[in-house]
Amino acid sequence: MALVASRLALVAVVLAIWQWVPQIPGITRWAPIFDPFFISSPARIAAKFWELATTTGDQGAVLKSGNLFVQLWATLWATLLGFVVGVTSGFLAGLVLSQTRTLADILNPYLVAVNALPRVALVPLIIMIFGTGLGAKVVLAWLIVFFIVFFNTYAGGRALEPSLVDSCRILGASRRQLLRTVVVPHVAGWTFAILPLAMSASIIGVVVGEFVGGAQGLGYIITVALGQLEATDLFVALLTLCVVAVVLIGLATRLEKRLLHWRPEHVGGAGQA
Amino acid sequence: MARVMPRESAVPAARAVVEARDVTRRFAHGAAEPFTALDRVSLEVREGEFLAIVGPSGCGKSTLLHIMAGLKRPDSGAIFVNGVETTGTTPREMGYLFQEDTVLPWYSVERNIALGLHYRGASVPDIRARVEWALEVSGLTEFRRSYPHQLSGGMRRRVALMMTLVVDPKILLMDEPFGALDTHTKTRLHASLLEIWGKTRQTIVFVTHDLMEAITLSDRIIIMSGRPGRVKASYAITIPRPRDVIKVKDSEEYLDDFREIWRILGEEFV
Amino acid sequence: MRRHSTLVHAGRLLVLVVLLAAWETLPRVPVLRARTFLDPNFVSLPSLVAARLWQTTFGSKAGYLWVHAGASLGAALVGFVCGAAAGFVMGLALAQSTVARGLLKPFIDAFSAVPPILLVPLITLVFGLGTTSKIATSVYIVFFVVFYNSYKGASALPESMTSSCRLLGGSRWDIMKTVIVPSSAAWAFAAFPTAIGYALIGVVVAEFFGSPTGLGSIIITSMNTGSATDLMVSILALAVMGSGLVGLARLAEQRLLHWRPEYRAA
Repeated sequence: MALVASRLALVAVVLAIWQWVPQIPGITRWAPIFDPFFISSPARIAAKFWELATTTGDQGAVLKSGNLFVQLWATLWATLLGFVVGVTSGFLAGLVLSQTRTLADILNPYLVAVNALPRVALVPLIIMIFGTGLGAKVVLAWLIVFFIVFFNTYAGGRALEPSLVDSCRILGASRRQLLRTVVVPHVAGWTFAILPLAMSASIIGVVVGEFVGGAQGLGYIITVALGQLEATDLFVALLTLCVVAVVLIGLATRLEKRLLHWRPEHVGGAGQA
Repeated sequence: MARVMPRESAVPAARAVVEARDVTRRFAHGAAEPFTALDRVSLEVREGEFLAIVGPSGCGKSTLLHIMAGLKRPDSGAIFVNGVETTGTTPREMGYLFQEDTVLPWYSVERNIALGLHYRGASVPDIRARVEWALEVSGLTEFRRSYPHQLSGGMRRRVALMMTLVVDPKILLMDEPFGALDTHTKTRLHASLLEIWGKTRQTIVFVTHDLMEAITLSDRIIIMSGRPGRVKASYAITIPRPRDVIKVKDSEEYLDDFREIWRILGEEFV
Repeated sequence: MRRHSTLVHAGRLLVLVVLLAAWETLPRVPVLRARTFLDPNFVSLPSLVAARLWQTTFGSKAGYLWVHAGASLGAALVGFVCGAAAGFVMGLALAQSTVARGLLKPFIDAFSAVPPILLVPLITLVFGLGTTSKIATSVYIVFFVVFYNSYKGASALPESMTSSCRLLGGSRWDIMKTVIVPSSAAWAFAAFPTAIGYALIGVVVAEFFGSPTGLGSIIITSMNTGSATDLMVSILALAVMGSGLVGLARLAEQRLLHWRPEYRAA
């Protein structure tokens, strides 16, 4: 009980510092970080949320009333699409490649090379080629998600114990039955284990895409707010984005746990992207 | 005292179900020297007998079992099952219990046990009946819907054992199946195995490095020598059946057999 | 290492040749140019990229790439050192003090649930467009990776190890010095290659927001001026530098942690 109280106290202290230290006259000369022009204040952010929730119309510098949901949905939709497409294609590619030895051996050095390239660096290239719409964002999300899912699935497929396969074959399994009852469940297990990370990857792909060249979405709003130095709007959009991210990753984690109920040792720490 | 039998038995034997003739297998392990795992090994397994193969580590007993099951090919020599050559293939009537954990983690105990029956296209009532039997005889009925990760190592081995038994193999090959278990669990599994086998009486070839286990379970023991692997001797166990796996270790026959085989094995340590 | 058949080697060569040939020739085909993104203005050509790469590394425009690469690398490294130190100390402290852990760990967990890259604009808002926000991004990213590893290393020790040292006569301080700190440090070290890789990416993304120097800035400039070749060259440079950095870090880790192979997988 004391623990919860002290945590709340800590939050309160931080909020208090954020709100009132900038109001001390002359503080910005000593510590420019405390200029409310740059860091806004909890009161103003709360007021903006209230305003967005209760009013309609066109007030506001960057985030117009009623606009928050539109932007939220733009980001959310691209993230979910990218996630689904990326996971499905990554799973299939990983499954097929892990079972075809020669092809896998041939492609191996190239896969290693591609893995070494941080996909986030490709964002500007994709924006240049595909523009700034939903399509580009999904391509970006797919790029990052696919490789994470593919490599994990592939590793899983290669790690299938030969004794398991032999045992089922001796029990009478045909090739199709082996695929259905042994290979696919085994490989899928590895795919499920990486779902939270894949969701994280999709969010990153979409949002960084919006940072670099967006026309819609929370990332776009954040970038515009940054450019216009509208700190309050930036915080509002960013907080919304953080909530969305945490919720999505949390959902992915729960999905993983349900799908992997037969394997309680889960991959997944405290959400390191 | 002529319990050590020469390879050619003078006593008329039951029909040889499985036969290994002059099986040789070499391994070339990359940088290491190539060595001979099995050197012209010949043996026969008689119908309905429980044959154990013991020997020091690396004497090729697991390799021999793999070759008998058709999982590996010998460099020379052949395997015959019921008089027909089966080198490199696995006959349908053969079952194999691996050393490794081969229970599928994503299926329940029930589903795992029924696996071979599903593969072989058995009818639904048939599957149900056999699975009931398997669950009952192995004491796993209340765990039928559990998943492997919820079971102890010994229970998982039970599931694996029932998976192989439920398809009614005429010949069952077992590769150090209880090696990873503690004595207590092992003993209980021995009791279960002997009880089930007492009723089904299939031919069993059981590879182990545990001499106590071999003597407790088998009718006859093939003793193999170290690298290169050769058949050193064949020893008929005199302990009468049915056997109580705990009391048997106190019997005169057990102690005599143990002493004698240990002496033969001891020659390998020189 | 499996020895691969000639088929595999031939296959690899074939794939490389086909890919390069396709990249070089397809964007020149007018039909493809018009209908798809296979246009040298968008994807450049291997020949152009190679020429430009030479130009900017050793040729007439040499220095261009090196300067920007150095700016990114420098910021990433400075941030890495600070973030790693902070992460290591925090991990150790929180593992030792129940009070601190109860108070602070939930907040660290909460913050780490959000992918750090999403917070780059906030960091840029607060610290400005210069090197400070790049370093701050690197510190933030590295901190979490190293913290969790250091924390695990200090708290996941088997009871038997600390007990046996105590029985040998070690004081609380001795055990800290000879058991807990080395274990924590070993785990922290194991995270360095991943951390430095992520730090570099973080710095590059920070540079996307209009920094005057760094690989991220030339990537954005190339995008804005529509110069596909420059874009390809800078992405390539980033990939090579990133791999080199991570590779070096892995080597260093292997040498230092040769005695604890199981700690290499963080």
